[in-house]
Amino acid sequence: MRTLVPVLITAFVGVFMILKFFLVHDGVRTVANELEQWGVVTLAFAIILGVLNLARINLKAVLERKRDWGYKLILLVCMFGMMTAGGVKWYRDIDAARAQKALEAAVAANPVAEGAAPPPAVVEARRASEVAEQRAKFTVFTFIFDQVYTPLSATIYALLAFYVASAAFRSFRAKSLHSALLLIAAVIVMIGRVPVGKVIWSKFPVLQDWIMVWPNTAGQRAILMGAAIGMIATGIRVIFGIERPYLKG
Amino acid sequence: MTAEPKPLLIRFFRALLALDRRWIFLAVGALSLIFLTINVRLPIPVSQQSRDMFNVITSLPPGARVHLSIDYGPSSQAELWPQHVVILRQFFRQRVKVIASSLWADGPSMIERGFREVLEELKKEGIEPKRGVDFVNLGYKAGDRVAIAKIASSFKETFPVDYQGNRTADLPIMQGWDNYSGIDLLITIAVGDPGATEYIQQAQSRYNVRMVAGVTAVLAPQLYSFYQSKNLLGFLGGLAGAAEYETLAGEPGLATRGMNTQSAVHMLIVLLVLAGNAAYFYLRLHGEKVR
Amino acid sequence: MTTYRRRQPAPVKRLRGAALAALLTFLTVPAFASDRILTETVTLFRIPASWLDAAASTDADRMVVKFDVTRLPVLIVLVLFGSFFLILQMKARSGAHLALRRLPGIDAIEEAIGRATEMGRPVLFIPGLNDIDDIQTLAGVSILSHVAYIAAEYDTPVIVACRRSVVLTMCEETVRQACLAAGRPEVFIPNNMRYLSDDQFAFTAGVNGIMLREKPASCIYQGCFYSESLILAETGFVSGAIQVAGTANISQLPFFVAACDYTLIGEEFFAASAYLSKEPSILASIKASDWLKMVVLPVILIGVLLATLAAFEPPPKDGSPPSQRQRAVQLLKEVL
Repeated sequence: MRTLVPVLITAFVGVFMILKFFLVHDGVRTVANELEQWGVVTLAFAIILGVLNLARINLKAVLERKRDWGYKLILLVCMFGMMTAGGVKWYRDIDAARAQKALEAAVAANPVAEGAAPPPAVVEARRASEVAEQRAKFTVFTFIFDQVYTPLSATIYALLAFYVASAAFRSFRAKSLHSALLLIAAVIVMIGRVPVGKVIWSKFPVLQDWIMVWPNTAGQRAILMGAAIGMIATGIRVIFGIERPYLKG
Repeated sequence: MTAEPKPLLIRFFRALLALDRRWIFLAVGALSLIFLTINVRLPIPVSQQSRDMFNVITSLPPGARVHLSIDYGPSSQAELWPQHVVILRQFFRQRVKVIASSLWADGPSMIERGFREVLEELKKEGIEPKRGVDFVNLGYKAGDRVAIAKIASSFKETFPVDYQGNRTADLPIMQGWDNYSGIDLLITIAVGDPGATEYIQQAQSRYNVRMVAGVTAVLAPQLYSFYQSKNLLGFLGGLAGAAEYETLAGEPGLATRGMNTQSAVHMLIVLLVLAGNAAYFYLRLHGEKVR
Repeated sequence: MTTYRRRQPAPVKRLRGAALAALLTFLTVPAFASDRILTETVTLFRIPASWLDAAASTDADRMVVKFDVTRLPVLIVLVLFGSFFLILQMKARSGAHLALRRLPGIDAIEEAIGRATEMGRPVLFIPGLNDIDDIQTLAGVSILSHVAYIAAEYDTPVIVACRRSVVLTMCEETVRQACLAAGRPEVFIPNNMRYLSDDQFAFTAGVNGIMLREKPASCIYQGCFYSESLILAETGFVSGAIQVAGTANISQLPFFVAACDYTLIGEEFFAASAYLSKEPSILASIKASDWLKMVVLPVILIGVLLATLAAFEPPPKDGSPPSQRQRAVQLLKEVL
């Protein structure tokens, strides 16, 4: 029963999604959309599992003073700190939206003749709305997002440029005909893709474009088709319970 | 008996192959810094796919609706931010209505930043689009492919409130349409999955909506087949794509400046690869075992 | 245990596939007449009014179930695959050998675990960055199951790093079950099943930290990866690990090929769990994929030929119907 129920659920949802793909009918579409919505909600809630796992592993390491426990403590502080900051931002956003609505209501309830000064109720509502908006704009969450998270993420992404250089130097060797072809294509694309390529030789961008449009697309399509067939095979194996990675054992 | 000293070239090539990668990192970093400060304008060759994308966007009439999906976060802004800004600027100048959303949790912040910076710039030109009327940030939707399918079937159901918490159904920009039949152009600026390929699979091919995309350089090779099959009417690849677009729009900006650095680093990598191969063959020729 | 024999498909079988594809194509061509051929929907059946309540039965759209003809090519592929799979499964069950070419990348996975055992260090496994709604993640978890089983037999710990919490739960269960199946439940260490972060680069930094601090002897990347692929593989290289990657993400393949010892490319990655499991029904599905390719290839060739011929034809005058050849090319374009 423990195996059968999940397999049946998978098969039911999988078959319904396949039906939705082929059939045009409101009933089928409604049920499939509802199932999709369940999927979105389930996946969104699953974040709690991740938080619990992080807390369990790291808290245990901190309490037992295991190796590198200091890093784990920083992680926990950052995680819960950011969650709190996010909560505050969320509350302030709601507050700002509420103040904006109150302002709109005040303006609607107190029509003002052209050129006349706005009534005190509108002035008060406008001031409250501006304050709420400022409070929503400048939060700890926004500060950390802009000044800490953004540069950190960009730094890790930028490592790619350095690693590409070192990996290319290490592994691009014309050891065989195939690797020589790969090497020549890579050099042409690298030079042709940047403006300096055109300065060196005007045909570099043309050659680069030709490589990208024809040999590259042909190769991509071949891999894509093979992968698509592989996906169909894996999908069918999963839908019909022949392969059950989610129940593996 | 002492070993015969090796010729200088052999020793040099050996040292080159054993080069600590930190020297390469240093060279890349130094070149980037130097070329960021040099203000040389190299001619930028424009590819057909960038030209097509520019033409598609230019042909949008005032009042046309565009679904702009910002599917990247701060990490990849070095590559995608210049594309984002130059395209958004063009939309507002053409009085196109922009319906922005994101499939990435950190996307809505990028959308807000884009609106904020572009609107500030355009204020000087007397262009002042209104939130909720000319543009809207619908925020983030979790669920990747499933979310795209949901968006395609109903915008208002998928996003009941916008990023500011306003009811989507009440916004003037959302009146009179609810799915891709009411959208004149779909554009995603994307760093990965979900991104351009997923939008093509779940939205473009199903609803036949006109679509263009801006992606990172790594993803660009993947889009050529969709461009050939006309699923995509045009696309931009990485910083070079953004520089091409800036050239077409006649507004050299961040990407055009970045091309100097990119040129320098590309040339460094090419030289390293060629030097590595020269060392490999020379040492092999002299009977040395090299990997 | 299933034994493998190298056997090339007979040319006759290939020809049979080509003939079938050609026949299908040309039989379908005259059936459509509009500009875009595969645009219509056809009514499959009408729902009897008694099945629905009175209010619903007045709605004409709810009374008919239509088939979307634009999806016909996908249906043909699915039906063909299903038929091939059933035939091959029956063959496999009757004891016939399903000959499959051995992939070096698969042997490398076993070698990688062996090396970790010799060095007394853990194996690091990453099932990609995507959630379980990605088929690549499911394929990755299937491979994890076999990796964990072999590692448990050798008493080698497996560290699994996940970016998505649902995937973590699945991996946790997979490794636990694999250890049980290997008869070594004590090898399963819950703290080695780690969720790091939903953020792509925070996750990358976390994995790099594991690589540099815990020094796994082998790093196995199986699933969907993005721009972090090279950052992971380069750090793995620096930490001295043997690395085996597998992904269907074409844009990341060059990075893995450059930095890893072995890479399973596209369909090889999807076939890996079948190779490792050696279960006849799963092997049959791999073989069915090969048969399907034998059908798709001639269709592509015919398309290329027809498109080339059509390119030499003068374009149809306004109002005149396109030639049979042009319609055939149009249909093939839509099918492919």
